[in-house]
Amino acid sequence: MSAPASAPHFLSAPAGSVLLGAEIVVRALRDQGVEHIFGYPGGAILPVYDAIFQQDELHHILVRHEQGAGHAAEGYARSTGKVGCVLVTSGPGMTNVVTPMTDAMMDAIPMIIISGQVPTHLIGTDAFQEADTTGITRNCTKHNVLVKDVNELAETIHKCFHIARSGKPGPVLIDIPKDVQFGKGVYVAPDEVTKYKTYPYAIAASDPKIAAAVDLMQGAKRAVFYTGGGVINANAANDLRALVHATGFPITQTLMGLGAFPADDPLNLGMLGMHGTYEANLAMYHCDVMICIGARFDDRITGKLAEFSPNSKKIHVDVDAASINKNVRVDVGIVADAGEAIRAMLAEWQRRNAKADSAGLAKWLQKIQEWRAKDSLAYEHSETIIKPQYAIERLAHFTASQNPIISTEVGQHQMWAAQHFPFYAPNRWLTSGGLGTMGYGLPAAIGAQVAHPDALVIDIAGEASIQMNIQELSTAVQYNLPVKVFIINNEWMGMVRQWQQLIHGERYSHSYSEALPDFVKLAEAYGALGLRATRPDELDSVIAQMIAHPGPVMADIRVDPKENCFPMIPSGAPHYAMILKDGDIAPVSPEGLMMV
Amino acid sequence: MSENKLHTLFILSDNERGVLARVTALFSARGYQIQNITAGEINEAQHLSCIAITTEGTAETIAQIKAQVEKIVAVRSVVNLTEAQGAVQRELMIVRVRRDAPKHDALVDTLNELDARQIAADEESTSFELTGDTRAINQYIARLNALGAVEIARSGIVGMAPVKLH
Repeated sequence: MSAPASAPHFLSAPAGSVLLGAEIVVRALRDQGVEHIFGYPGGAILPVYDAIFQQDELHHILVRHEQGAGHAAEGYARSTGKVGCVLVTSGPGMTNVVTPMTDAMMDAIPMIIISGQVPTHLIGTDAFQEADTTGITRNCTKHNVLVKDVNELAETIHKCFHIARSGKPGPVLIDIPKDVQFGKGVYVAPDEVTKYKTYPYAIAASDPKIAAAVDLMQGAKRAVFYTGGGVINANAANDLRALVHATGFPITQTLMGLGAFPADDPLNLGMLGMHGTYEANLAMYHCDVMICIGARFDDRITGKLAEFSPNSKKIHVDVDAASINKNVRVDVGIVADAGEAIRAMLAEWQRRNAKADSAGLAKWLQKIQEWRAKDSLAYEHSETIIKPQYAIERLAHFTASQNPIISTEVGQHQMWAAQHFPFYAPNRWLTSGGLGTMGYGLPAAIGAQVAHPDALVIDIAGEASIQMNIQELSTAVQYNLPVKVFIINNEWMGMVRQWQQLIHGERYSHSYSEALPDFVKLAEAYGALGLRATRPDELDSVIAQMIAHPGPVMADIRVDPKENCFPMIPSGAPHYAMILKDGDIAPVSPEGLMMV
Repeated sequence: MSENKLHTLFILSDNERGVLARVTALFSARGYQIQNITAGEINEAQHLSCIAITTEGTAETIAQIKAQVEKIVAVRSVVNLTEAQGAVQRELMIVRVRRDAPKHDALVDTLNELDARQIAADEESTSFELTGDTRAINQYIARLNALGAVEIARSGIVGMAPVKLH
């Protein structure tokens, strides 16, 4: 009797083959172009881990906490434009990814989360490590699905990738009971799936809404572009540059939109909003035509809604129809991919051979120059103590030639990085904008470094935030990921301290970072390089050593603990009521007190 | 801003696990009220369900709710029945009258006057069904309650859009 011919490996078996559920998962990921997945094993996902063990095309990065896997996938996605992937077990494995899923939902990051689930016959019995995964994640995913039939598994995974990356991108969770992973089913390839949810995408240059937008732009005397992360998701930075230069209008970007337009372009007003520049916010207040592309008028941008840009006609391009007229009523709402809309507007502008109102525009740019002369990002230099802004400027100076990827945690250091670190290209800036997740930066940097092994990847951190996911330093060491953690250490939860100073009568309730670890020793304990700078004259050499070191580094930069982040629009105040420095403090309105 | 008023949204969706939960979760997460809700499968072969939700809001709020619901992956279309010319809406109510009710005869006379249909009877009570739009159902309930002890159940709105959706 001859030995049975061995079945082809599950990665090379033809579509239509019968495979194990766990093999279908790995095969579907590979066929979707996934090269890396971030995860942590556990009982209910072991069959998938077994399938991963038996192949070498899908590379698994073992994190130290599932939250780290989620943010690493976000950093991977944001730095590549691809879908970030996460693999976790049931129960606590999944609940630990709730924060990254919510984060990805807010910032429109495409992500696939595969979670193991207890076997179908135990669902609903309060089994060990059982949780109502689809119930818990319903509000923090774009879509989620519990797969109960192994024959639906492949099609479901392919559909979920389509959903994650189409329209407004977002996180999609696939919950797979263990018996489905062990079951046998037919594998279908991505191109065999026919029924996909459709999303608005294209818009023609001849569309009446494009004409209406270009009419407004042609008639404008004081126009401003206000752009966000949607431009980066649409991979449309070059198109945006062409449109801005064709019109000659100034442009400001949201926190999520930084990098879509070069920082050093004279038309760039920098970031707008609560900690945006004076010129950006006043341009928003005084403009007569606002062209918002891929941003969503959130409260950090608008300040007091009732006084938001009161005299402008507003154009809003968003791929999410629900975003239009949600917070601010607009005059022309265009539901489309940002890149499609930009190209359509540019084509229509060129077809008409349109010119901006040159006298109006010249006067407008002159006005903006006066506002810019305020130099709202200026700070007092010191010979004796490191100013946090100075530390970030020096970091930018020494890394400029390497086109680094920067991630951040959340707080003052994040805003200082947004203000003082210039970006010239998209996908180099990874930050938690909508949700404001402390602990995002280190795992996001790890995810970006996995995708770009040769890039210089730096997490600009705070000493409080970094402790929220510091365990991921171990991941960086394990995979030889040379991420640099640049801790702006002011010994305080700085933004909390700042608000307590400005709004809560200087009662510093629980915002001091007591009992800080020695970050240098901590880095060494993990097997990374630890560095420290305490005086301005030590800073440059610490940065140089950090960049030169081939492995992961944690640099503890001891900065002025009392420095506040300015400029600032106090919460609930309008754009024109900016605070530029300590001492400008205005009383906060009762409505403002309620804002976060 | 337009005034607050009641609107009924007709939602056509794939009949998949959790779609009703997703719709109601969206309402609670974004602070919208559900005045009433009905749901049911309407085509097993095509896996189609319909959901009707009545909610209160300005025209702007209702437009926002509609746009948010349309983002749910399983949702195929959303029609505002209150704004759609030619849409129809009905509710069903069931009334049970006990034979020993003090105003039994007056209740039965009223129900007959309202064209209620008797659907069940036993030694203790008689049950009737009534249909009408929400305003009519509210009026029926007021008239019957004025006559004393009756038990009433109502369905919430079932509606149909004026255009073919599936």
